[in-house]
Amino acid sequence: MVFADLFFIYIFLPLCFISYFLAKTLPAKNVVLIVFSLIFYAWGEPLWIVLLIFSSFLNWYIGILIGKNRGTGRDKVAVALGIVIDIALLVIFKYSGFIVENLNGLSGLSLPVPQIRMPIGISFFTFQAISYILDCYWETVEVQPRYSRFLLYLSLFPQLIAGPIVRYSVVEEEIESRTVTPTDLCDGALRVIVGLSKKVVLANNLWVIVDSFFGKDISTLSFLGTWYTVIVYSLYVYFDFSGYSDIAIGLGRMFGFHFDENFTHPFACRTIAEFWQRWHISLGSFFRDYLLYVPIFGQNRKYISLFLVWFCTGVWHGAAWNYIIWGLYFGCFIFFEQKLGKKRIKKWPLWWKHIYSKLVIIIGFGIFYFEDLSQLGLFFKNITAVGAITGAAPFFDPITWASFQNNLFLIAVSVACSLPLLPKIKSFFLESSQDSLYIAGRAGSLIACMGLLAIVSILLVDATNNVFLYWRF
Amino acid sequence: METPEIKHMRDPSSQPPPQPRRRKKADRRRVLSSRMSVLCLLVLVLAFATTSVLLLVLPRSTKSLIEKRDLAAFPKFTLESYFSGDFTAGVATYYDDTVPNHDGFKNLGNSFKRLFGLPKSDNSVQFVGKINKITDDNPTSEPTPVPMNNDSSAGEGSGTVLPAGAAGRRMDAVPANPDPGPTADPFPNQEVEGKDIIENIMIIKQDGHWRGMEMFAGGSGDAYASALNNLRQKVDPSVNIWSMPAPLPCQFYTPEEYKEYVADQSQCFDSVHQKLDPAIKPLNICSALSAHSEEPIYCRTDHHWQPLGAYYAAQAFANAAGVPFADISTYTSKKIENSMGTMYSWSKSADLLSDPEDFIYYLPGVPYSAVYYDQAFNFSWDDDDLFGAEVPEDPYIVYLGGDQYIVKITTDVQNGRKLLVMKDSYGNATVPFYTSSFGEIYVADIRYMERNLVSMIRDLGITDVVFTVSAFSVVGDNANYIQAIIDQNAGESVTDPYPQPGPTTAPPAAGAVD
Amino acid sequence: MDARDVFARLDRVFQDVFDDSSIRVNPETTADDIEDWDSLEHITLISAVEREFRMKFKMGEISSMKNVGEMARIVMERMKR
Repeated sequence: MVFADLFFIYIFLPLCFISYFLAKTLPAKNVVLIVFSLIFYAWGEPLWIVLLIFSSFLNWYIGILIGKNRGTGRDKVAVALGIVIDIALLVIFKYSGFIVENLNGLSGLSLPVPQIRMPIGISFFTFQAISYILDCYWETVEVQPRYSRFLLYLSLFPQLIAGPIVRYSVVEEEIESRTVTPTDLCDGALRVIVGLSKKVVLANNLWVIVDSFFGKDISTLSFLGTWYTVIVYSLYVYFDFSGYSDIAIGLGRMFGFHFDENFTHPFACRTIAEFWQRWHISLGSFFRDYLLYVPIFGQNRKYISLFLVWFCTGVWHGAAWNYIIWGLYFGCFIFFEQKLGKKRIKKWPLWWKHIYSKLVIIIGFGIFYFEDLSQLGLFFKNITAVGAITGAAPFFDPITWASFQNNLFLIAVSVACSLPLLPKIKSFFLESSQDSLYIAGRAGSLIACMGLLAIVSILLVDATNNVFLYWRF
Repeated sequence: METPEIKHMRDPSSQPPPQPRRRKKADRRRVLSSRMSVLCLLVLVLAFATTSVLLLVLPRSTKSLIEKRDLAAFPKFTLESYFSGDFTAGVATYYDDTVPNHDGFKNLGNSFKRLFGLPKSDNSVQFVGKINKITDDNPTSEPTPVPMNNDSSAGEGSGTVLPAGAAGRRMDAVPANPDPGPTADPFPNQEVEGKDIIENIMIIKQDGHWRGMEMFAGGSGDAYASALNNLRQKVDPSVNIWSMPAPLPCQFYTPEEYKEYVADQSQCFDSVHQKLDPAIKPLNICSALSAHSEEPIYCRTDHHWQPLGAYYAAQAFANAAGVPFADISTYTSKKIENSMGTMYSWSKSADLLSDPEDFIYYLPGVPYSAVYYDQAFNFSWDDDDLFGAEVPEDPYIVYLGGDQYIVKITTDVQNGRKLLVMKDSYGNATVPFYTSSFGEIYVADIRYMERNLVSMIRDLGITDVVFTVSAFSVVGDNANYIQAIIDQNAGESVTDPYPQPGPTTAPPAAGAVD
Repeated sequence: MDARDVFARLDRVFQDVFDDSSIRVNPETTADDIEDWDSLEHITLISAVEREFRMKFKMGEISSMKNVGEMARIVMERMKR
């Protein structure tokens, strides 16, 4: 099931909330959440829900083993075993086709390429499971003795399918005791509506633009058309994914969970390092905490770890070379910024920092888009104007101009929403000492969200273009 | 981001205690905040509850007139469909698709999207689909897909939603015949429509009106030419075979700056015609139509031409064939007002939606009779009328009960010429204009006819065969149907199951047609 | 070795790593207090601390230490052995 779907919004959610608030005790509420989470997952993966249950059971049991054998050395075996099995499942379901294809290409063999469809959300729940057993091993969290509670953590439907990668430590206490205030419910619901709007009003329609230019043979796409499309694509990815995170965080809040933020206006960044502190934060911090500090590379571990992290970041996003290139591309810029030194970068004029970082990010999204490397090559040719100079592609084209005119306000609103402007307006009202301003702020955000909800609902009538991008990771 | 501290998002209340003097104020704000929250929550709950309930209890839509399709049906539960995920996906699709007042909401949603762009003016243009330049080196390698497959006029309107369609009339005409005849499915080609149809559409404002056009990308037309050549070999040399393909509106209404993105149809027809057997008579009507492009010869909101365009085409053909031709002033014009056809369904352009058009068709001033046969040339009904129900959402369906019938028209013309119109939907509108030109006219669709074409021509005594299919059908997959109907049931003999004497209709008096 | 010693030596290490002689650390110091202290410099820092005190951090400790106080605690624990 996806969030941006009338069925989810007007059937699944109401039923879930009614059941949740009819349940009197916390254990009963937890059971409601587990049941609805499993229905939610089974709706899209009627078969592979088995895998989710297996994975949760395995990792829960690994946690128990770690707790029982602490200090004996067997805890190390348990955690290693858990990680190996988790990674193996991920590799089998996500990468086996890619690996076999490349093996065939390299060795000239013709092994049959396995056609395994990747279970939804496996990348996310596997990482959460790994974080849990490592945290158990490092004693940063308590071992969860009850399977049902661990299952709730792993399967909790707001964050099950496309993140954020919620750490067990974040919800550890709230699984066992949490309260929901009217403010939680209200703010959570408004956050959900904002997330839906990002997805349905902005992302879906930005995608129409992207698809009309990148969804075809791009060899004759003009220089400016390529820039236009890749900028729109960057906005699309941001709104698609951050919209999903907003919905997840908002829904979590409505059930009394407080997840960490996953995006903090990434396009407002000034350096690439800062971008990754603002973009998909839960993934970055996962790799930082569980991979970056692997102490096996001796003196040069800093840079080896750095590129390992960025290689893995790339691979995590998909089983194709362009994602690996994309990850290492960012690794290179982080490395470059590191070598240059923060102090020197700080002296750059602000406009230059913004241009530099946006250029790197936007071209990065081009790499992210083109799984087909020959298309990626054409993309580079066109975006660097090589295509226009050699006459293979025009410098500008009237189709791009028409698209720009027809979507100017959509793009302008998207750019405005990608910058931290709205939060400033919001805090002006909500943090004002004058009650009238405060009331106006609350009422205004409610009215705005009701309007957005109406628009979202109308746009969702028989919408076909609704799968979240990060669904497949 | 260094120390992986877990920063919970907490209420502002968890901030350090304020100064005593301010505390009172902060407390008051807290009370206000939670009151506001309760209030907001009430509004939200009310909104969600009302919408949920209304969506459940209001009658669900079953058809979309604007999209010309049946909406999703509730899926059937089987273990197989469950485990493949089709069942659950189908339930959600059913729910999302059959929303009460589906078309109204779709129109509203499409209209909302107008806000995305600058206000429109004359020469404003928008493109739907993936537009590529027509390059010289490969105009033929990638033939244009054939969106015409899904000709909406293939159906005949539904008995329930649409006003008395051809199906209803058939029942009147032959009440005793329980023959299923026209199917109940109003949108028989829906599965075609669901696929990758309608790639490229240009929506443009010209002279104050919006026009939607499919963008023709060209193609070799080899299959078309070779099928016609093959036919030429197989039929008696005395039979005239004509190729008069119908150009699409983008030939006439594409502004200069976008000409690179559509293929020139006149050139395309000429190059196809060069591949034809010299004994086949080619007729390129692009320039004949171009002379009238200021007149409403093409629909702006539908992918067909207006009957007036078909009139000029028929005129060109009659001149070439040396048969008499009645001026349009002898016809009675009828108007389907506020029609909004396929170009809106396919483009979802609210600009088009805001600018409906009148579809004007012409009733012959001469008497004629009409007999309808099914695709296998079994008698269906004799209606003595070439025109059916007026459907503003699908104006072109007014002709011939849709696309799939074989129709015979008998007129008073005594020149011994018998015409067979082999057509796709574009040909439909030409047919009434031949009622003063040929004694007998047979009409069959290249996509649906189930009899052997050679036998039809021979056994029905046809003297002239004209192929009037759209440019898409000339270069696209539809051309393959022509070879198929030459090959199918080869050697069979064809007899008219309903031989019928002369014309029975009087020239229509007012209201007689409806 | 007492805590004061440890912190004095940590000061030197921090000043070295972050190339800033004004840095003084205390148990509450976190990454937020030192501008250049990001996740990569953290690795440099850890290596430097390990060299200075001739000890090793465990991986879990590297990612979960919340402030310099915790770092010092671990250092002192290791040194005792």
